[in-house]
Amino acid sequence: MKVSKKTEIDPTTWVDLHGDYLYRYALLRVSHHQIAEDLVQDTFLSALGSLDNFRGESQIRTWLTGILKRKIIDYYRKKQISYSLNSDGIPQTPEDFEAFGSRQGAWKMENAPKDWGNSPDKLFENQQFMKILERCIGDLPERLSAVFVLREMDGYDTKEICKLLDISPSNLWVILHRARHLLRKCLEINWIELEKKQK
Amino acid sequence: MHKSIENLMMKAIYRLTFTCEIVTQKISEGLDHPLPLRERVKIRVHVLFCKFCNRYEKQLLALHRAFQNRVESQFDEEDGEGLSDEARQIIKRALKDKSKSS
Repeated sequence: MKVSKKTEIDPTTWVDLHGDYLYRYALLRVSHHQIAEDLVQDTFLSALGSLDNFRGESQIRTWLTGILKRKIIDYYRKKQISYSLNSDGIPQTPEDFEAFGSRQGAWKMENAPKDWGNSPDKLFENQQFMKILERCIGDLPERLSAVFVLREMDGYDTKEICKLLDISPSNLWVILHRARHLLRKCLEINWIELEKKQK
Repeated sequence: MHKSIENLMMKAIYRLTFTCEIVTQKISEGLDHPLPLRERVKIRVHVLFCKFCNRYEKQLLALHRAFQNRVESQFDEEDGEGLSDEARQIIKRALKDKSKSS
C-alpha cells in the first residue's frame, strides 16, 4: 500500500499503518502481549507529544521505532531485571554435558548437536524455520531474551549493553552464551519434530 | 575408527584444548569480543576433532549471521499476530484524547 507523506504524518492513521508492526517489534522483545500493547500505546502518545521534533528526514515508521526502542530499554531498566547468574530465570547449560567421570565436560550423547546439513545458513531462509526461531526467542526467559535481542537483533555492542543494563562484561558473555545455547537447542528440537511430521 | 581409540583420542584433545562445555562458551564469547590467540588455537584444534562442537560452531555462526543479515525483516513480512481489536480501539481513543487536550 502506497501512503502519501501527508497521510503518514497524520497521527490518526498511525495505529492502522504502524500498530501491528510496532506491536510485533515489541512482542519479540518483551514476550508479554499486555506489556507490548502498553509500550506501543506509550510510543504513539510520546510521538504525538513530540511530533514537532519529527523532521521528516526519516520515515515516520523509523522514527516511531526509535521511540519504541527507548521505551523498551526503559522497561528493562525499570523492571530491574536481575542479571545475577545465580538468580532464577537464568538456566544453566551443564545439563547438556557429562558431569562426572572420564568424559566430564563432554557432550551427553542424547543432547549433542544434530546434523543440520552442510549449510545451516540455508535454514534461515526457510519461512517455517524462521517461525520456529521467533517462537524460540519468545520462549527464552526474559532476562536472557532482553540481552540477546539487544545484542543480536538491535546490534548494540557489548559495552553499550553493559552500560544500559548495568552489568559486567563477563556476566554479559555468560548470559549471551546461555541464550544462544538454549535457542540453538530449541530450534533443533522443534525443527526436527516439524520435519518428522511432514514426512 | 575403533570406539576405544576414538575415546582415547578425545580424552587427549580435552586435555590439550578445552572440554566441549568450555568450547561452546568460548565459541559464543568469540562473537562478542576478541579471544586471545592461545584460546582461538585451542578452539580450532578441538573443533577439528570433535564433530559435535564442529556442528555447534557452524550452527551458532549461522544463527549470528542470520541476525546480522536482518532476519527481522522476514518476521515483518509474515502474517504474524498484530494488535488486538480491543487494544487498537483503546490506543486510537487515547491518541484522540491527547490530540484534543493539546
